[in-house]
Amino acid sequence: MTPGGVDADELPGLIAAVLAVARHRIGGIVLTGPASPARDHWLDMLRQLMGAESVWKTVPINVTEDRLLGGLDLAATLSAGQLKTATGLLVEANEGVLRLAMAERQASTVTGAVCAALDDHEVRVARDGVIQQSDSRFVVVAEDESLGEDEAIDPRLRERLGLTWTLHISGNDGYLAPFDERDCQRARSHFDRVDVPATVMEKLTAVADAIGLMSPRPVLQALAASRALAALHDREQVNDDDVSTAALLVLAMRVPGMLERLQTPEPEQAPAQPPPPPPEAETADSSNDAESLRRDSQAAELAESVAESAAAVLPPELLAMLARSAARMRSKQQAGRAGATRPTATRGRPLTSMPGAPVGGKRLDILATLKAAAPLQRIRTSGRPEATNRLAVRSDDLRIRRFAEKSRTTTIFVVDASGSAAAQRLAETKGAIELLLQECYVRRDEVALVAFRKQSAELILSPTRSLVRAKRTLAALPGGGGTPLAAGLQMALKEAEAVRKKGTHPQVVLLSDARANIDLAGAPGRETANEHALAIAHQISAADIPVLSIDTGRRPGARSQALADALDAQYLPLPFADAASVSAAVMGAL
Amino acid sequence: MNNKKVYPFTAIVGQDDMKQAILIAAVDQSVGGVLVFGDRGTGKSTAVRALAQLLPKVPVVPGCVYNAAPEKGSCPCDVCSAFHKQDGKSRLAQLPVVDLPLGATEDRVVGALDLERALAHGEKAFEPGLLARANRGFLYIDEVNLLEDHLVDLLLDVAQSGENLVEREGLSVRHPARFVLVGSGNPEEGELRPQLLDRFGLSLDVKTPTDIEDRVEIIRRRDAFEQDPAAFCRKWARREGKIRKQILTARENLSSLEVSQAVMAFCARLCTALGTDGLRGELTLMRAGRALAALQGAKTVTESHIVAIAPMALRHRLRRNPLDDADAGVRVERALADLAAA
Repeated sequence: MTPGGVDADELPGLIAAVLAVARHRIGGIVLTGPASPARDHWLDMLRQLMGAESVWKTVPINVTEDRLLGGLDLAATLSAGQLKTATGLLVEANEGVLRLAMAERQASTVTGAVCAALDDHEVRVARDGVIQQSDSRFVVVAEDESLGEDEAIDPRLRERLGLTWTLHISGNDGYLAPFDERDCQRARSHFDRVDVPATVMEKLTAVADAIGLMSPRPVLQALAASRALAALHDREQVNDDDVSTAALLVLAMRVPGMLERLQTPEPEQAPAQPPPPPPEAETADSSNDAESLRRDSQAAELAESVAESAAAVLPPELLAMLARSAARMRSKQQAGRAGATRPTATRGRPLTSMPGAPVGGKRLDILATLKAAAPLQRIRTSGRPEATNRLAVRSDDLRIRRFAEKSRTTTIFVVDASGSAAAQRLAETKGAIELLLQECYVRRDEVALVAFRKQSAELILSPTRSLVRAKRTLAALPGGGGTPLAAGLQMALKEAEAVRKKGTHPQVVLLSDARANIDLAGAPGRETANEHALAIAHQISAADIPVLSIDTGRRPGARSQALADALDAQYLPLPFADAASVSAAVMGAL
Repeated sequence: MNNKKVYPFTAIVGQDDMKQAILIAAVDQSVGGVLVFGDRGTGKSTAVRALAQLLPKVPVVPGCVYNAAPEKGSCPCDVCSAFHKQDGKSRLAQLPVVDLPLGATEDRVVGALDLERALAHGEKAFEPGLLARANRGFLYIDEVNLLEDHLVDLLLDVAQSGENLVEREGLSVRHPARFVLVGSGNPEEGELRPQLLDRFGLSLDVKTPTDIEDRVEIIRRRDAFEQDPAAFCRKWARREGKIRKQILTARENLSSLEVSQAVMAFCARLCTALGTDGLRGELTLMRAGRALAALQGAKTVTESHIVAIAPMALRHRLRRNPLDDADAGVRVERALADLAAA
């Protein structure tokens, strides 16, 4: 049994049944894991529970906007001699399931269109001679195959999909389905009549609050799940079990790591035994756990009453797990990770073509040009019978290809946050980064920040263009401790390579006095620390990453010079670096 | 068209600033656009969609795609010329709120060759786009910060001139396109270009309510709406009717409300204190303050009206100072406090 009071083996089947009953009221599911038999099994189960008649449509990774949204059907229009429209995938999926293949890599225009359709239950189109809107309600299965933290599903889409499931890759031969197709059908017809006691909304809001989910959408999805559960159990009214299970399925599962814990098979233990309580919870009672959930922004009493209702809904051991995960989620948020958006434009993603002549390196989009010319043929050739078998293309028709944007630059700041001088230096660096971000409005570039201090380096700010996020994270940046220069450079190298993978040019700005005293392993010692730093510096120059090394030491010295040489960097001694001069130097040098 | 039920404006919990800004734009469209930025799930698009239900009916020329007013010279289209020649009768129509959907192509935004007529009859005719439909009403762009740059430039140009000029595919058309641009977005997805920011009359930053009771109430109402939209809208119909009347009365009273020299001077002092560029800030302050006074049924526009709308009218016009961490709205309030003390 999981702490939610549900048999862990039945979870995948239960989730599929809830999705098949609550449908557009719960939005859909984020299905994490690579393509595997396990995924096929689960999808088969969902297909069965949804009913044989339900439509299934798949949005491939290379979907074009006109196929997704619909619009002009050029071939039919030309042969019929009148305007014919084609239906897009979003409308075709009406009352059915829309599968998003590789959801984490879908362009933001695709996920944006899916989100708009989920919100309004209709698809609006205004393209290629067609303006129309069509009703469409569907369930989204977003197949998230992301590996590691560099990729993530679009947060706008994540928020609109109520359910979450991570697939086991190995050892699976089908799932236990606690409900069958007939149960789901009955529950669906029963769904709207299920009565919800007034306290349910308070309880679910309280749990969402405890986890740090502030938007009303997850709560509404949990509410839909509790209705679906009651309907599946042939209950007239939502009861406490339904609420707990719904809170687990919709709210708790959104916390990273939650699922792995539920899925990890317990080592040879009596199955009835609850999982061992976490160490903190052993000494602390549940009200103490609740204490730790309190967010700074809220009044103490309110937090306590919220925590109490959350505790009433979720069993204490689950709550304790959540509290720790939520704390981790929040600290990650501070590091600028959660909610990180993928760049909307990687190198070479084609956009719709635009009118223009193919001059100055611009490329002609032949298909689009023909498409533009086609409807006008009759007008242009009328009265000139000799021209009828020749295509009349005018300069008005010419369309040029456009790509998402020329590849952009991501400037990675590597900041020495060690020692006593750190406070002043950090403040100046923060200022410099913010000044550079201003430039980024115009250039559409991004900025990232790695800070190193004490024993290790940390990615404080993942690549961003948002001044809002940058300010928030920079304000919380602490200083002091040793100088793990090598660790900082290593982190910068890793980040630069990740940036490069996304099709953006990385450049590194190092602000340090180069007085390394902590080595890669985190151990003190000037000699090895320096050796390690130089070794990584050589790797960076071998990777051909442009570096600007700003020496912030009071007396610029040979050590910094040597480091800059190893980095193959431009060297700039700035003993009294202030925000404006750092920013000017960076703008000028790179 | 579409008779889907829309969540009622009056049923939106909290978000008073956002509601006020939208009402002000509905009363005086010359205030010039509303920009709503905020977290996910704060009801930004709900509020804009709900606005469509509240807009008053105005006289239009029947059949004119540009919703033109019956006064002579307001629209050059064929329908309107015929209307004026025959001395036709106008009809009442609700002002439009037009959605600019994601993936919209330029031809459908500005209008282009009418494909149907080109194909069937070999005729060159203009088919108006979304800008034509939005004339005299509102144009709503969700995720405005994700809009393609060339479309943004185009919208800015038209919004500024109030006229859409189409020169393409051998067509040459000029038609009125006066609309209020309403944009919403999430600041975490990227910032808006400063040139675009300045075009909006009012700008707001909406936050998720932190009050637990408010949040439970949001869930309660939203759930009731989703369970039975028709019944929910009936329940709120009276409140909707009341606010519709309030807008209508305010629109009628707007012209009789004068802004005194003293209040104008106050606007000017505030803008000087904040160092906002150009006249646009002062004009917006004055117009939005007047619209607010009209909404409240006040006899005169006072400094208190200006103070109430100053943050939303000015916060996006301040010169960015990256080293001053204070929220722009706070800076406006600081300036207001300084002025009051002086």
